[in-house]
Amino acid sequence: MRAASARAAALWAFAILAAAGCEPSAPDESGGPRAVQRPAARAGLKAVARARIDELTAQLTASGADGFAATTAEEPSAEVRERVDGLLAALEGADDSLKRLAREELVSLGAAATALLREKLFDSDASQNVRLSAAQVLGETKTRAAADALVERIELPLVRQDPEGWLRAHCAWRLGNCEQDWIVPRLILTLRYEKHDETVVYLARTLAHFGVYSGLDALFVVASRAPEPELARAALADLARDAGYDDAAALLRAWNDGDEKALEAPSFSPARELEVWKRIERFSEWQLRGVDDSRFVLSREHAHAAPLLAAALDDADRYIRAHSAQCLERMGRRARAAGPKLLEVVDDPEIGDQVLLTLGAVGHEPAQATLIDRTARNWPLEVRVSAARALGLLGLASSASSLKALQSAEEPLDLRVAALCSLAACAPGEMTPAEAGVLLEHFTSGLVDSAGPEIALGRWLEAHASDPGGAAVHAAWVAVRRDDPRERIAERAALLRAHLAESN
Amino acid sequence: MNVRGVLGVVVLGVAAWALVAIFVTPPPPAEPVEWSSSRQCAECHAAPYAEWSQSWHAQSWTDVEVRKQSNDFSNKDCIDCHSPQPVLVSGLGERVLPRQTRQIEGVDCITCHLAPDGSIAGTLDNPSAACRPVATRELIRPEFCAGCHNQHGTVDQWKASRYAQPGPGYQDCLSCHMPYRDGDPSKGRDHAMHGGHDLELVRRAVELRATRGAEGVVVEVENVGAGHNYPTDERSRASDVFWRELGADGAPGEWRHLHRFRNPYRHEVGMQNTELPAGETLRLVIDAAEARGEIEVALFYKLTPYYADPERPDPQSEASLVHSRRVAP
Repeated sequence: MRAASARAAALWAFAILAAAGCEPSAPDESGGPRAVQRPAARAGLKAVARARIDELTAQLTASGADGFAATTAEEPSAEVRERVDGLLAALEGADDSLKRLAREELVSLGAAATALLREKLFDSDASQNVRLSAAQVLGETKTRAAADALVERIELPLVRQDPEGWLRAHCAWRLGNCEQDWIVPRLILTLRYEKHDETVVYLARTLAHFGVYSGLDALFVVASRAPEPELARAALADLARDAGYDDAAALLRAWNDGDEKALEAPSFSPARELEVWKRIERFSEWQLRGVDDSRFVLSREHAHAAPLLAAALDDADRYIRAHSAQCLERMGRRARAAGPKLLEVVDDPEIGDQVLLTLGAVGHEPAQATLIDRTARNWPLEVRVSAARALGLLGLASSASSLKALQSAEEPLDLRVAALCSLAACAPGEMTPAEAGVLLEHFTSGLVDSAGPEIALGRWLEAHASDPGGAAVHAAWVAVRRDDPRERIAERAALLRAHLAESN
Repeated sequence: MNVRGVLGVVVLGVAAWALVAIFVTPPPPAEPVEWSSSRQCAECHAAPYAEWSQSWHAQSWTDVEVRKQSNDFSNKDCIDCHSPQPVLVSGLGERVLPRQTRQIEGVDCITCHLAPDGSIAGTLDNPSAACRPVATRELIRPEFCAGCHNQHGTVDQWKASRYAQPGPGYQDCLSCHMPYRDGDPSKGRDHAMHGGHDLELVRRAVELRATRGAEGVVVEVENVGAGHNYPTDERSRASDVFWRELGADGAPGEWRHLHRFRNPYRHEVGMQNTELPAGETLRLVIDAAEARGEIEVALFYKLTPYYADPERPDPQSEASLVHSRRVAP
């Protein structure tokens, strides 16, 4: 009896414990702290970048494209080595016709001579004339291996210190004739890190030769500060003239705006497409070094790269999708062709906010209705703010009423400020002094980033320059120059506050 | 008490607990909240919010130096880590991506505590609190910090150190950078996130020893307290060993550079990473012929790597003194 009672009590205890253990507030099935699960990715994604790299490599190999056919590297014979040395010596002579013949013969010697000329480029014991001649012949050889040798010599500062800027500048110049457009992404990257002014000038010229004008901003920097800025100034003038623009600033604006004339380019070969895809694939790397470089390169590539970046928006790797969308945003109007694809993936749960911004930046006007819809309250805040910002980037005055509708006090501060900033971008004339006053308060509140309101208020002042006192206060606003941003903000805010008080 | 008595007490206890669990109505769950600013957290969590507000995480977007280096974040590459999406949204140990909202708050409460489903990750379940926190084990893992800080290899450096080995010597990121307030677990963790800007923490990380021997003055720097390299962070941190003669009249000579601990920027080619791994000691020698009299050896720490005049660096005005040792003639 005693044993039976104990058994019954134990069963009751077990039942009670089990019932209590099933209470609904249990954190998860294991009863311990949860493991966070990320939401499922968009359906239909695949390894787009890897597949395109494999396809293009196979296509170029099958077609026997220069540099892709399977070859066995052979050590140049002593006879070839002697011949190359002799021809290089002939290039140090004075007879131009003999020099031309020597160069032609060096080119005709093919891969073996290319390998030896490459050695000369990197041989600091060789004479300056021999190395310059080697660069010239490699440029005239017009093969993948020859161009690769010249680019590699320019890239040397990415690997170790290289005091021979004169040789890098010469290699960059000779690449202008190499007819190998796949080098463009590599040249864009070398330009990012190059400090030798003359090399910067020739890199920018060679990029322009391939229809890429993103090196113009570097030319402007060199033209403004170098001890001898004439070379850069001449390059700016030449490039603008050759492209049919009044000046280089107009050419750069046209390039950034996606002007068709500025985007005329000789070619965009499959080999260059392959280089672009290799850069896109690097977006999946964990370390940001390669990612940052790839973002830089692809954002400054020709508009022909935009459809490739758009295709990458279907890649299974979210970093490839996210950074491709960022590059398209940074390309701006030059990437207009990507608009339809961007609209198609606008609700990607992992990159949708970035896609919204990009739609605005590329100027895809059919996206306006979608952007306005995404500012509604049924969307997450990150999406709403991105959509509001995107409307400003899109710049259509017809978005003004939708942006003004986001000024309810119940709306989150980030959204209200983003909408006002976009209003100033789309339709600064429609922003009232009262709305400018609200933006002014946000400009100095420390509760939101001051950069957006500062730009917006500058635009508003510019648009209202014809109002009484408007021109003077706008001029004063522009004239404020302070290294410390806090001082600049305070000074500009005081100017505008006084102006608004007078207006009232 | 016999077995029957013990059993009776147990059954009564369990029954009482079950009655409470079944019949006492728990407080209703709080209404869902959309988290648009970390200022929302301050209402209930004033102390952690105040600590965080003073932290460098809170200044990752507003710091004057950062804004200058990033050209007011027009270099958008900087945004990824300086205003990241919530870590748990990116995924534990995954690289963070940039966000579009509340950028001015930098690495804020929401960055660490917002889960992908909109809930708040905490250390306890509390459905009746306004934020309805859910206990989330990922919050305390070193991989949680890796999304940003392993860009500089800091978490990998820790994994290679003895501190990462299971056992009594185990210490992780939170042990040093987010310790319990007053050492008391019941008081929660300090959200000020002390790091390289906290000179006392830096001082505890390294030891400096200097003794005169036959070959000269032997200087040793040992990483005794950092669970990662000293200093860590690729971008800008540097630590220099300098020495100077102390004249008989007490007037010191000029500082002379002996060694630099630093991982260079990516564009600084031809330079080696000279950071000091956890637990390791670097031995340096000042030649006996150079340092005959009394000398002072000092270890300095710099948040930005360059001196105004690289040829004649002035560590006393441009860097922070970590340790100093005098060596007799």
